[in-house]
Amino acid sequence: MILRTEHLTKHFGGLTAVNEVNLRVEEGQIHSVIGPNGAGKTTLFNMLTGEIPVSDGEIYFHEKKITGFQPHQIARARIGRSFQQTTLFTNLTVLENVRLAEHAHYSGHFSVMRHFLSFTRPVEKAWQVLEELDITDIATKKAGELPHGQQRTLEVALALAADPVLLLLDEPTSGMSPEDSVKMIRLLRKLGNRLTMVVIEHNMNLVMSISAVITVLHQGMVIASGNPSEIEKDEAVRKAYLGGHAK
Amino acid sequence: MIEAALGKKRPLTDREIWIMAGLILLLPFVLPYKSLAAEILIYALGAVSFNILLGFTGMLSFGHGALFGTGAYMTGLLLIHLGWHPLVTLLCSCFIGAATALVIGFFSIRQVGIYFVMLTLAFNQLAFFIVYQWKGLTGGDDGLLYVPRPDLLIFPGVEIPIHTNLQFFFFVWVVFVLCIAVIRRILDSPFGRILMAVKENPDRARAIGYKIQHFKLAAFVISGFFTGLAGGLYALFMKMVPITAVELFTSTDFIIMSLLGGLGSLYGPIIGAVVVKVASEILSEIWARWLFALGLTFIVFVLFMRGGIWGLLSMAVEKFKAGSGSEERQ
Amino acid sequence: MSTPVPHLSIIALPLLRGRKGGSVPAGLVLMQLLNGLVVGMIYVLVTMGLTIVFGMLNVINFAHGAFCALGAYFAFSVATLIGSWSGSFWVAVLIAPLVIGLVGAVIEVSLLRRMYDVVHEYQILLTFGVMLVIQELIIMIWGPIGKSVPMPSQLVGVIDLGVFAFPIYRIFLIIFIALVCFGVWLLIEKTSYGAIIRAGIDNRDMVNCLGIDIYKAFTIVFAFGVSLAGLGGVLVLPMRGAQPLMGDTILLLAFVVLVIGGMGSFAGAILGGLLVGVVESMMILVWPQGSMISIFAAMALVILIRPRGLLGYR
Repeated sequence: MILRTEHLTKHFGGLTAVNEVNLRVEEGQIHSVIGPNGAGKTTLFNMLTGEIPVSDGEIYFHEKKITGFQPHQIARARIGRSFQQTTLFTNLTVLENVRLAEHAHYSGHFSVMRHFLSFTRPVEKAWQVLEELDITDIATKKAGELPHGQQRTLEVALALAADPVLLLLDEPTSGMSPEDSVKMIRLLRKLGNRLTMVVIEHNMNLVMSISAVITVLHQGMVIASGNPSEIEKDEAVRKAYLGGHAK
Repeated sequence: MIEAALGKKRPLTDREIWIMAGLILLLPFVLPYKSLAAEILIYALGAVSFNILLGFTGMLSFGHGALFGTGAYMTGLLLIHLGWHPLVTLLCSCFIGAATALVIGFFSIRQVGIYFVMLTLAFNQLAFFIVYQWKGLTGGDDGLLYVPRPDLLIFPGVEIPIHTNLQFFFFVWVVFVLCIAVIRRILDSPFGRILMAVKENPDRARAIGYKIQHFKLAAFVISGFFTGLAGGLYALFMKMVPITAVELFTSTDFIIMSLLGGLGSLYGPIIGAVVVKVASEILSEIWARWLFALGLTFIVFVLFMRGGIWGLLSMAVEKFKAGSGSEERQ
Repeated sequence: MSTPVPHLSIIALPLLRGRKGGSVPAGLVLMQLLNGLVVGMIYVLVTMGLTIVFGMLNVINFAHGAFCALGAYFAFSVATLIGSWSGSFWVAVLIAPLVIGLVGAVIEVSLLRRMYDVVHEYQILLTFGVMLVIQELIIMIWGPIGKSVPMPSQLVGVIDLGVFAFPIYRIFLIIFIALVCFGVWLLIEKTSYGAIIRAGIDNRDMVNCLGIDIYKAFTIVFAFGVSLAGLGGVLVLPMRGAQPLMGDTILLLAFVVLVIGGMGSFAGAILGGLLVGVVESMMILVWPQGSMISIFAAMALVILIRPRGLLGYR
């Protein structure tokens, strides 16, 4: 099990956003987390990547405890994350964005001098990431000037810079047009062949077609977990979602 | 293909640096007072180092008076009491500036926004307080007087005088150009890019794996190093250290120069220093309330032109290039 | 800012001139405590405006102290215009805050509005520029030398408190500002306007969605906050006179109070203001040069240990 949470809980004052969530992610899987708005999905991610502190419970990555790790430690542990709200370095170009992300992982902890020398190796690795995501044609465009779909793809690219074994993607297709979504689904499938992914999504087509396992959150709690066909038939899931999904 | 995407890496000194150096060399000959030229360079150095924090890392420090002042007092005291070589005293000023920045930064870095401002301001007050109280050492309110300006011993038997305004200016010019080249190198490096990322989106920088507190502190210390140097030069320049060197006003001077000149650009604060100093010396003779115009300009710049004068010039150059390019095509 | 002793505290010093050496007598301590209360109330008034503006608009106003100065100078002009100070004092107390509020409204609409979602740093820079402009304007209109007015005749003299005599004006100040605070509290807690403000502090967009013109509310709140500063200036005028740069120290100390009490907290402004005023006045007794620095040290401690302030919640 590459990622495991035990009784993971988050309280915000009187509100319990995430309640006793036990997540089980097998290595090599694409594991989707779905649920109505406000179900606690992003809060769950924020705890996994150290953006917010955990109220209760533990997180295990490769059976090592990572609860309470800071975001940069998570990145160094080779867990990459993309965000629901696009958060890029808008004044830097696409290549510079990814290069920056690569550089963070580049060499040892105390090698301060590398910050004052050049960027050469990270650039090569950054270029590889751009190639994998097929966005080399926009390498010199400023991130702030890109259309939304390409920005979302760059989001994923930044997450890949950690050379992760586990990728956490928060609504990668959010706001994307149908054509862009199709491209993203293909990309995610390709990535899924070589890494483990946990994906928060609202796009049911995507979720149903690529996931091995789906966990459904509702009001902070897991109400169902299983493969796509099991989830499709689950009564509790149907009740939680007022609208259905395309069958 | 990658190289094309990145642009070339710049060596320590190149045509750009020499052009800037050359332009600055003209200063004492175009200004009404030769001494103003050296003063401008000193403040410009302070403003450029200040801008490393504000323009590049996004930290608004009201504590730079403390850094400038300690550098000034360090050089002044070493020259008066120990008679050391000016270059050595300047080096000491660099290190005291860096050390002070380390202390202030250590406590302040974790805070952001107004808290960071208030904490750095508190440290500036502390520095002022120490200088004011420790009259025996610093001269308190009266200032540290009679700082000598000895000739520079380069080789045994070879002494370079820095006595007259012009001689002193050339000395400052050499130091200044060197510092700007080094700072440019630092900002061009990955370190500089990381600072800019921290300014723009600290959360994201953290999420992709940077310990941003370390980088902020490093930026602070580097800024302190060069600000301390500027302070040391100031002591040599004035041949005394007034208590105003450590006051809040010094911090606000740098803020004004950086903003008017252009945040986020290396050369902007230099232009800002020229403009502000010239205005305060020359404009003030014509109109005592020139600060009013400065304040209005400042407001306009904060609202609409954060790139400052440098930003305006850059845009003008871009338009000019685009214009002449299309003419050639015809 | 060139002296280590805060602007307002010097009101205590002349009263100490008769002191002989040796330990500090109890009467003096009590009197300084009362002085601390007076100074503290001024800080409370000024900081209250600052905290309301920050709480609702999330805006840092570095020009706040300059509005104090503007209030004082405007009151001076009212006095000069009307003639006898005694009647004009009450007129000034009424009119000056309104005029200052108007100025604030103009500034908010024209300048500040663009700055709401920008980081604090740029707000500080902008309002810093506004402060420069206001200070220069004051000098242009009223000249660089300070102005003063005589004490209003109804409030002249001292009251005998047994152990020492205390100026009536200062007692009036304490009571008056306490009433103003109470009024502001009523406004915020009990009226529908106040409810809008409180909701706006919590959730700006939501209030907008409810169909309330949030931008008009912002203008009014900013004008209100700034008028409190102006009122503070008017009240200081008979005590200390008006100088063009008087706003500087008041601004610094208002921010210190803001940080100590908690940004956005009404009660915090009161607690913080009184605390700072009392500490400042007591330090004058014991160690005058150390008064400013001890206040800043206290603030630094608060930032390091409990950043949201004593009563803040952000």
